[in-house]
Amino acid sequence: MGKYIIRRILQAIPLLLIIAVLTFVLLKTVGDPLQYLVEDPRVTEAERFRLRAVLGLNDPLPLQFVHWLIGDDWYLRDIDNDGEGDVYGERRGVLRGDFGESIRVRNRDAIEIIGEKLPNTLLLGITVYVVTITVSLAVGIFAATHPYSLADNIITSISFVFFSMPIYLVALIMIYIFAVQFRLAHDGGLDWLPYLPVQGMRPTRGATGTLAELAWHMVLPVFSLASISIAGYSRFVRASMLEVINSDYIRTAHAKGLSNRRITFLHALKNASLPLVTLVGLDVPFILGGAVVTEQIFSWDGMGLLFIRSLEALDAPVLILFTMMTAIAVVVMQLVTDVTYAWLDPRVRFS
Amino acid sequence: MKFVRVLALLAILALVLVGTGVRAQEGVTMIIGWEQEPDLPSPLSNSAFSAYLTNFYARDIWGWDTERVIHAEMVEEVPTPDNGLVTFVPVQVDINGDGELEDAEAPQVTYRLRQGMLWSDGTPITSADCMFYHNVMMQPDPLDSWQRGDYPAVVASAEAIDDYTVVLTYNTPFPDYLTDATLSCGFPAHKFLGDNGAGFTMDTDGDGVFDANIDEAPYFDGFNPAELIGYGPYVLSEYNVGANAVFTRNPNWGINDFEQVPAIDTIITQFILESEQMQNALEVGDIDLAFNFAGDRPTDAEGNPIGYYAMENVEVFSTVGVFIDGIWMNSGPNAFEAMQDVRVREGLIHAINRRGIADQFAGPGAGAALTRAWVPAQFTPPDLPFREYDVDGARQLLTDAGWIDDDADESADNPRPTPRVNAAGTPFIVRFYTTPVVPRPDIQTVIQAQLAAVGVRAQLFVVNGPTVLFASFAERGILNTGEYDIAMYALSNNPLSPNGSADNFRCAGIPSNENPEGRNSTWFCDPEYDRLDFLVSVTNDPTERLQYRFAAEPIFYNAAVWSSIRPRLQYYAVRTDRFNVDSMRDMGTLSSNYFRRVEFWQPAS
Repeated sequence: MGKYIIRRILQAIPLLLIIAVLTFVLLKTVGDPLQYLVEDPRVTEAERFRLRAVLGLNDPLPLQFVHWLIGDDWYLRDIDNDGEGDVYGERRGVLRGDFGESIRVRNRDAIEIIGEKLPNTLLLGITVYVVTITVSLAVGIFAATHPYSLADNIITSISFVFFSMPIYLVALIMIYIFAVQFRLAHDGGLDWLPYLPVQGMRPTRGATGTLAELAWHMVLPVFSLASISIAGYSRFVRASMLEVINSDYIRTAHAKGLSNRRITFLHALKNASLPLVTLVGLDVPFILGGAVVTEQIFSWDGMGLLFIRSLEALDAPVLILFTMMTAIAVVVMQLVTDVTYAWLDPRVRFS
Repeated sequence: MKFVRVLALLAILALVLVGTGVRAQEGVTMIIGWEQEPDLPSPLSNSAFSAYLTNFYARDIWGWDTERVIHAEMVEEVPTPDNGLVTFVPVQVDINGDGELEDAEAPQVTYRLRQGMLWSDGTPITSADCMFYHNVMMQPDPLDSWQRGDYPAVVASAEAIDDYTVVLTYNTPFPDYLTDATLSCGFPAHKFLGDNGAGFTMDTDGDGVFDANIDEAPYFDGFNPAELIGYGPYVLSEYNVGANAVFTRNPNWGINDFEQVPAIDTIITQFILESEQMQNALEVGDIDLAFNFAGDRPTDAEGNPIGYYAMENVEVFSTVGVFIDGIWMNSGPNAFEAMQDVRVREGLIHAINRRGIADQFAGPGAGAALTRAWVPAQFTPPDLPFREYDVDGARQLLTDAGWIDDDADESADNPRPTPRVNAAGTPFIVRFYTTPVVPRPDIQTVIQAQLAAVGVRAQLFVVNGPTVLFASFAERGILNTGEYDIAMYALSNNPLSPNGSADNFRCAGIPSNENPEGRNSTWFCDPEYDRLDFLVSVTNDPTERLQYRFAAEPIFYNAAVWSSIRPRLQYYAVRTDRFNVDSMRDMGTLSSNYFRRVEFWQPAS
């Protein structure tokens, strides 16, 4: 298996390079991040040239890519438009661990900005996955072990409702009911009625900085995101479990007198969870990308919001790093999924 | 299930990592909804919402109010020739750009700082702070991103006469010395000069000339409360990434009579990026004030209040801004052939009910206040008429220009007659561009219907502003390549100056292969206008200057390439159960200084 993993990692290098080139070219050609200065009558042409030069935007595109890769501290750059090099660049390049400076947030490295947002996104994303997997397993197993019962039909109907609703609609409905109307009712005299926060990661008024506050602010975004995932995942679990519990080895297990609980959770679930592992393996890398819509609605200061704001400003260093992180996560999770497969199903062998 | 356990563990770890928060605040606290998270303190920031924050912790040399009256802030009085603080010195300059030196007079402006002002760290504010700013602006071979504008080109020298007096001398006639290329004393020199504890200095070799990159000063290293020194009613005490910025009273503000002590102890700017959520937050009382929202529609079709207008304990009010959306018409060679005829352009303006649109999309009364010219109202010739909505007049002008209603189907009962045609049978179809900024696309649709009534078809295009519509000629921008017929967008003027926009309105600004950065996208070109507009920009005497403007403006007006369509008001929604709205109405000023009078705000009684 060691050789297999090394081979997969080596295969990933050209893939990541291609992704880097494509992302770089796309982001660098889609527009000018300093275009807004053209509309500013206070900014002279010389100032625009200087600022573009300092940011390396006057260099030819292939050279910009080389600078991004290996740095520009060896490159003498013309900043006063006299055709002669004036100052050396200051970046060391990706291969030397320097992912560049943000254009939108001056004086800040792209990796530093992403490092600030990533924990918030991981907190939200991982919590959502914990809730999603736990609840969808429970719901899916229950539905599979009680097929076509009233409960199964109700679960199926609710799943379809949530699965067909866009996330922003779920989020706004939840906010309207549990944050706005409950709060107005609470303030209007129903003191016993609890209400959830409208937005943000902490209270706007009288915050104490406790973890309980943070957890309370996670309820709505987690529920909004998880409700849609649970609807989809639970259908997968149900279908997969139904197939497995009707197979020969499960009948044999019943014939041997094993308890239903042992058969379901030990023998059936392990095989039934294989499709779920694939699904999770495909989805989990995108936790890093953040939930763009949900983070926007709930003012959750994560990667999704960062992506939108960086895209608006055509902040290439941040966006390229963002894309590369997601790409690496996809490659790694594919590998992890394959390895998990082998653990769950010993018949799978690597060659 | 092990996988789930691992995920759960990771979630708990992340919770611990993230789990810090702001401290509870004491006294009167106001929470303001802030729709963008700021990037950096002004002036380095690209973001307007960073610049707005400076209103809490910084004051300028002088400011101006909604009536466009300039008032002193950091100086004893606003310099004018009448009070002797503005004099004129003889200079010889190539004023016409023809290589010939001519005798002229350049202003010399004396800044008398108020005595007793302190930075928020307790250091006195002196002329050294003003000289620091001057030296940055005049820095040779700058490496930083500071926008210097005209300053290095038009300022000859600055001299500190004493600790509180600085004289700024220009090298050319420069009548806008109060609004452009002015001296600032708003940056604490002691944070930049010498070793301020962080090892940064602007003068690295000690020769008196600045050679460092001011971008790299610790002062600009993000919103670091410990580094941010200002002269204003508040100081930044906390900056919580992704959540809020907290401002508390500046202990060194209020020690002088001219410094109003704020009644609000703490101001929190809470970052809420989604407009629906901003409304929710105000409705439930999580915030006390929302601003910069689209407040032009107070009611629905049945007349019921909507949005902020429907909330209990919330009052909405508005102030004027500097931006006016205008209708721009292309008279250039790439426009539809009809557009090159001034009668057609004039006819199209008469076909649009501009006052009605302004009332509908900017609130009742906005139509009556529409400006007649692009320059501010106080510099517009009084006899310049407003081109009123006149469908019959529009039809007549189009007919006179050779665009006829060949099938005679235009009438008051027919909202969409067939397009007019010329002698060659070409139908009248124009390309109409705007940006997605609300409510421009809606206005565009209304105008399309009104143009249709006079036999003009408008194809509507809504495109991104910076990257598509406003991009330069070299980047194939729609406006600057002239590949449009009508456009709707805003170009701000200087609210205190009669100057036109040389880049946008003079012949030299017409974009071409030889002039790829040209911005004159209407192709309006008149040498007499250029001459008069130039004289406006170099004449020191205000009366004479105004006469030049009054002579220039009708030329631009008669070309019918620009018409106002909607003043862009600034809207505010305030919780009346917590704050006294009447004490806040004066806050709205032109430009970006929304909160320049925050120290006068009062809690509800």
